[in-house]
Amino acid sequence: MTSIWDRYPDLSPSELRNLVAATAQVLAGSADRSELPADPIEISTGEAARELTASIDMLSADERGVVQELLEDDDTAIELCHVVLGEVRRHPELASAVAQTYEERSRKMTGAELLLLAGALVVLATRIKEIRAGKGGTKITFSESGEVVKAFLAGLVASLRGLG
Amino acid sequence: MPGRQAFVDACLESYWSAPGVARMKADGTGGRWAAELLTLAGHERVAPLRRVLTEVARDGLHTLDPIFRFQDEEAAAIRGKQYGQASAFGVEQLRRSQGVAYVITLAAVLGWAVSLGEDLTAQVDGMPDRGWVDLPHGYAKAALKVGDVRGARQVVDTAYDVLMAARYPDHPALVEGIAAYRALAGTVGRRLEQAIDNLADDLLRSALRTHLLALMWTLGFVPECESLRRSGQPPSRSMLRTLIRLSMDRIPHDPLTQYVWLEMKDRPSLDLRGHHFFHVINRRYGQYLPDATWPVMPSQAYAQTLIGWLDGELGLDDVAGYLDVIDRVREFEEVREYSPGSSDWSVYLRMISLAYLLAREHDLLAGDPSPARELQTWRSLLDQVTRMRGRHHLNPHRADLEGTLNYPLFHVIEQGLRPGAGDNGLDPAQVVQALESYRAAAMTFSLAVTPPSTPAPPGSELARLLDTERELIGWLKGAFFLVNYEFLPTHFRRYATEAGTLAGGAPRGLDLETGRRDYLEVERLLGELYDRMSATAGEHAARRKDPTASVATIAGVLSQHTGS
Repeated sequence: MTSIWDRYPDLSPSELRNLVAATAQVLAGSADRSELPADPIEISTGEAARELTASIDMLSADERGVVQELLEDDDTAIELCHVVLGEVRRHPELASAVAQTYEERSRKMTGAELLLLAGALVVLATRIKEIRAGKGGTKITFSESGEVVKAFLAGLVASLRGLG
Repeated sequence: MPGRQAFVDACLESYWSAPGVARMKADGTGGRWAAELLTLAGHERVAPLRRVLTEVARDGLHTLDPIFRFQDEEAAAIRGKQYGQASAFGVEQLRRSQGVAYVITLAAVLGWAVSLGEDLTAQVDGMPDRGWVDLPHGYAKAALKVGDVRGARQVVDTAYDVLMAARYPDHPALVEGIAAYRALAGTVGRRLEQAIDNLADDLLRSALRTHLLALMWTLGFVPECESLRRSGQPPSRSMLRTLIRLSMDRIPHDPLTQYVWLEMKDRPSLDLRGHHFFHVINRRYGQYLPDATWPVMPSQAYAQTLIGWLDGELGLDDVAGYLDVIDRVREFEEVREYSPGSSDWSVYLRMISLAYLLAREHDLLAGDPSPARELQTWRSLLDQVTRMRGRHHLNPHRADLEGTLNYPLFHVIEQGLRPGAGDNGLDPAQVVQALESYRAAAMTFSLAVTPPSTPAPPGSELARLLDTERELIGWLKGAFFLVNYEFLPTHFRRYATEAGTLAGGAPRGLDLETGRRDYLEVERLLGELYDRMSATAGEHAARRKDPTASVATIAGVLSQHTGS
């Protein structure tokens, strides 16, 4: 049986939105809830930007607006999502759990995701240190991946300073 | 179809409201965008725009003077193809500098719009100007990048409407453009949803619960408002999203909604200025003349009084002050129709409803304060509401009334249908009949064009009358189309000009006033017909004259349901 990862990254916009939603769902469900905001999947881009500027040392509170714009802009939001998805792929058990959730969502009448949940995905990826994924609940250290995402986001913010 | 000025205004909205443009202004001439723009202004693909781009960079976007000068002095002499090249060059700069892309595409689209003059949206041989395919698209893309979601939406909607109005929308020159605008409209829609989410979250975080309840009351969510008022809970996120969406649609016509939002403007717990919709909230629309000309602005007085009442902090002096304002509002209502402004009767209704409520609470009602008398007052207002609803389909130029007429309805239900209401001389059956009339009023047109099936022997008098009814209903539909004609998407008018030309002479007035006049005339003729029908088909005529269900019918239907 083929997995969504077999076609990755050549996905339609709708497939990408659904894969991002499935990944956010798995990350939110596999981590220690105390590490996460109250409703991480439903988080707005404004709240996500507030979370990110507060939790990433390389960003300042003044840059909240820029981070929010990055999460809302189609191009940069997709870039950010690909960085997180790339990190997820590095952990086979996690990637497999995401693929399974993606398939389950596809089979159910959940409806297509209309929004790219970039804010939720990036917040989850940068806040979660450890995940238990797969049937055996394999422990996965995700903090290094989180650092990669943080560095990428900080780089994007730096490139936008002064709208240069 | 918005005219040229409306299109230009939509393009310029970004200058006033986009967060990215605000940052560019703050950076000014020292910004990287300005330096980049100065360099790129020398490129041959933007040669016709060189002077304006240089001036904008040197002015640091502090004013629009360079753009206005360009429009007045140079824009008309530049060809459409040159604008297209400059805009494409601007779009290519998006990866390099959003600010540069924004300025180039803005100058290009504005110059192009001005160069076409009043022919901007015209169709020549059934096709719009070639620039519609690229120029608004390039600009809207850049405007989105700097954060102007609403302006971009208007530009995209207008361009899509113009392209769809082409007689040959499947022409190869248009197909890709139409598809590109559809895709961009999806992006704009998602951005708007995000903007609504962001504002909803900040409202939840704010300490402005009573302001939000005032918004609910003003937009017609009266039972919900009452429920939260009693429970002390804030509105849900989902309710806030609805309030934001409705507010943004209604504010240009609804000063009361606008002033409730304005009361939230400078509150420490909410940074309203940081949101995409701030420009909508903070703009002057001139909806209601007294707000611009009286020493006390009635809409502001309404908003402050309502919030104060919901807060439980309204004193007798405050109430007396508000009632004084309402006395003058009542006088103005007599002449409102003849004064400038886009507000509708719902403004008066909500202001006066609040006045009744406060007067009752503070024992300031003149005359008999009995429950029956009070219900009579609300019934009288509800009857007016029903009449207004029954005519709203003839006002397509006004914002949807939504729930703005709900307040008397709420009181009639609360007082007329509560247990023991009959003991106070109130007749619940009359209340139910009033509610049914209110419901039916929202479907006036649908009920008018859907007669019941009444059999008639061929050749009989009744058959002849039913034929006349069918014919008049056809006319009524035509008149209704005329009422809406100017407000429908442009492709509805694709063949209109030619039809008028072929008929010779001036085309018939395809406008709101003609439509309304025709509609009312046909309605009158139908009324006369039903009078004549009464002798031969009494039941049919009676149902056509009054399409509401009787209390007995409603009770009969309800009694078919059994509780479990």
